[in-house]
Amino acid sequence: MKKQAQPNSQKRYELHSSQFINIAFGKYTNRCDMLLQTKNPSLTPEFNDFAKNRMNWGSEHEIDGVSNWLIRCSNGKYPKFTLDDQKDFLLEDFDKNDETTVALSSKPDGLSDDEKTIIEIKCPNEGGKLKDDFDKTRLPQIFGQQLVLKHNGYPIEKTQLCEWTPNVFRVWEIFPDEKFEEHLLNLLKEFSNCLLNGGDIDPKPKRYGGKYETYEKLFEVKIK
Amino acid sequence: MENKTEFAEIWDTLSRVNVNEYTDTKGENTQLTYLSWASGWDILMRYYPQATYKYLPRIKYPDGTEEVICVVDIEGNSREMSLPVMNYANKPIANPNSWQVNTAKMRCLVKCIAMFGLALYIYRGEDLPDEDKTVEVNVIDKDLLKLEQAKKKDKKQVFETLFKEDKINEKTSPTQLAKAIRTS
Repeated sequence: MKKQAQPNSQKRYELHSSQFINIAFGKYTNRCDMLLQTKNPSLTPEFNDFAKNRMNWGSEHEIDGVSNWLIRCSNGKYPKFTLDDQKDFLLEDFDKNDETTVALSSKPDGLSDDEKTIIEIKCPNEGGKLKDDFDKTRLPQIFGQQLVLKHNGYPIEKTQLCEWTPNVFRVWEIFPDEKFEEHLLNLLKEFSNCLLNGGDIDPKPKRYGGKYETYEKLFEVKIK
Repeated sequence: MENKTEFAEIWDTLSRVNVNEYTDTKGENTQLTYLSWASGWDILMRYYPQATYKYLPRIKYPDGTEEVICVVDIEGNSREMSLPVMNYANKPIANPNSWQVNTAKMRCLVKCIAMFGLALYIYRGEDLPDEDKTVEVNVIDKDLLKLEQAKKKDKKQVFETLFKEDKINEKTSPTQLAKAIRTS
């Protein structure tokens, strides 16, 4: 979350899709703490070594996920906005008052050449074993990305979530889910409203009551 | 003196090659990683197509077990290596049959090539080449070399052309492709 000065001195908060799991659901950091940290970024705790190692691993091997995607999913078309050409997409004025504005932002790992598929690479667990099932904690980020890119005019039809380890490459397809998007938007609105106007917020809302049925495993291959 | 320099050059080249894409594992309780003789020879030929090999007469021991000896020559630089004829559990076999001897000879060939540096790290039980802890990969596919050498702005077009010509396909090494598309 970046806080940027505006020319007209209006405050601006930027909520990044990678944090929607906490901003909307308080999963790892509750929403009260997220509010405090968004208002005052210096309160954001530093990552511990464990988290740093995981992040470094992910950054280092993102290119391996992309190369596997190129071979198996690209249909020979090089994606837009990938690797060192990634683009930060914005949904400005998601919520605002006279003094403050809140933007949503997202920086996917790639966008297919036809602009219909978001590519998201995950290199989890420092190369260890993948979870057997789809990791639903990724959904707030994925649906958040879809929201932001659709708002930017891209005809997003799905996200291809690519999980890479040195031994396995697995791709899930996640299609837009209107009910979940609406649920996510309500929670983001609630958060941004508290940013703008103060007030109490549920630190950890109940789980989404609906069903996630809009994803499927596309394939899984063993990497030799 | 000339040969010493060439040995060093060969070592410098082959010991940096990451062969992880070509290794396989065997064994049920203890998984052993190995490089097949075909892959080992294939990789060697990409760097030193003039390399040759031969076998010296087998050594036979009183208990009936045997050892094969291979000599690999790379542009005048020779190294020799031996290997017992073993079963699948890596135990020496007494009175081996022709298939078991043949298998040992091919494994010995790979081991002898390793003496020049190629995949030696596998024999040390390590995951990555000695000087290669950061997964430095040499692009050895000539088509991928074009992609690696392309300017950043041209990589998209070069990739799409190679894909269209089926020079990038499901047989392509993702690790080498990753190296080729890296721009910095």
